[in-house]
Amino acid sequence: MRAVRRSRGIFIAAVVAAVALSGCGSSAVPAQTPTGSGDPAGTWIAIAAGNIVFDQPAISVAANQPFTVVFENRDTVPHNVSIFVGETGGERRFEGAVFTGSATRWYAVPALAPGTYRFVCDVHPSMSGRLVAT
Amino acid sequence: MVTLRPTSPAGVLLRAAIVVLALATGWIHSTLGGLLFSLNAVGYVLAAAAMVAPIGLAVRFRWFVRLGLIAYAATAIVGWYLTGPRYDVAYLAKGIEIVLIALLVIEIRAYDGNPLRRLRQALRPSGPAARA
Repeated sequence: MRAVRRSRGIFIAAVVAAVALSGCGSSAVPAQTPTGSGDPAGTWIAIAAGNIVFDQPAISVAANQPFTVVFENRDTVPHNVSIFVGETGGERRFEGAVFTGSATRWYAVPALAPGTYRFVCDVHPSMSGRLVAT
Repeated sequence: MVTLRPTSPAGVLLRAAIVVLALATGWIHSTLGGLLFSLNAVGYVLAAAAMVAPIGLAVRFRWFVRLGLIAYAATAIVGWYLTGPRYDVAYLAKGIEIVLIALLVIEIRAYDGNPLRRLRQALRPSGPAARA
């Protein structure tokens, strides 16, 4: 129960940070490092899915560094986050577990080489966004 | 060799299993969200209804419904194989569809004979429909 509360708290912090950063128009939301001592450790980004749409069209992360995706599925249908190389097609670099909402999961994503990627829901391929590793 | 008939207990059980499996995979697709999955679910429900509807047209073309349902399920499996996510519910749905196809093949072999000959008969212009 405490873990759920803590992850909720972290997620809310992530959402607040994401909303604050989204004031920069359609620019990518950069990865964030939590200030507290709780998980997830290191760099992390928050992504949410609701009404079969990701809440962010673009995110950016530091290249060559593993990071955590805090993924909130607000729908009652299954979603996940997978990462592919390039804007279309391309090799899969990460596959997050599919789960039904409302729930939040943390995905540990391995380091990505500098470049452009896209994050996609495997269940609903129309859900996608741009991920830039710089 | 036991001959399968639609009114025999084995025939009724087989038909019931086909309907239940079609409804089950339709229900699974209905829980996935999105237009494509919803349409897929509607298709399965309509096919299940057509498998048991006692109206003349459905009875007359049940052989075609069987073939159509096989094609529908096979398309869903191929579509999933090419682009679909690999997770427990998807594997369950595909398992159901594989069993559904197997049961439909049993019905076709028992009631319809060679499906290609059936199709040729239906498409032949000299049939009763063409004369009418």
